[in-house]
Amino acid sequence: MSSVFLDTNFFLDVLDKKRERHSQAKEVLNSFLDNDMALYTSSDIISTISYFLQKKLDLKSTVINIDFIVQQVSILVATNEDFMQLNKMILQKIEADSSLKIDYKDCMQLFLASKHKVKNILTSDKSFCKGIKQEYDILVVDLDDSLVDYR
Amino acid sequence: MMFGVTEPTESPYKPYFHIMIISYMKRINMQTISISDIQRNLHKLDDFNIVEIVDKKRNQIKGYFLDSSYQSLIEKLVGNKKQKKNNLLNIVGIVDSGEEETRDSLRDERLSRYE
Repeated sequence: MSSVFLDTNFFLDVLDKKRERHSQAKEVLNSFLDNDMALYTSSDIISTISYFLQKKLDLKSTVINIDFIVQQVSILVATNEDFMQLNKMILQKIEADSSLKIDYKDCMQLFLASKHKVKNILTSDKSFCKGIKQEYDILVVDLDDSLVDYR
Repeated sequence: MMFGVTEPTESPYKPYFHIMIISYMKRINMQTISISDIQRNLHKLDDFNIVEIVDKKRNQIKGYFLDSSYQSLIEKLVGNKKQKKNNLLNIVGIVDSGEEETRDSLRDERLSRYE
């Protein structure tokens, strides 16, 4: 079974019908569900999504919609050991290339997805974990990729 | 690839208990037959309520064949899955804002609350 880790921007595109990529995101979500893909995200992303929802909706609606998400999407959480492993790896990378510019939070998403053997990461960030993603056996895809491009 | 086939059992339990005791049944009664044997004698499947499909080469369980007596259970599981799918689709377009907020802008906004 194929699997995909969903980044924050994908959820924002799905949730907000006025966003430019809403229709595209909706179509992709439907494809995931029709193809029984295993869906993953992180507790950190859910936290950001809840913040976004609560800015726009009341608390009850926020809770209900978060509940819809967590019923179907598996939530990955980092342990102390995960942080330590990731830190070690990033420090080694910086040692080799001091100009390396990566987003720590993104790296944790990548690390978590890889740890749970998720095959794809869906993100609209073209430079997602550039310089570090090759360390992981995981494919970074965006909304423009068709499902056949997924692993 | 080979099939590991459990012995037929007359269980007093409801179907979902069968699922829970697969490994128990395998330990006490298990026969192994090949795909070609099943192809030649499809009726052999009638005698078994659970068939574990094993990729012997990779030593991986690929899935299970369940007897048609499990139909109601399977339909219930499929129904639950469909329900969950429908639930997730409820989030589509729930917000009508149009502000092109991003992960980064939301993070900055959250952080600014602590300044």
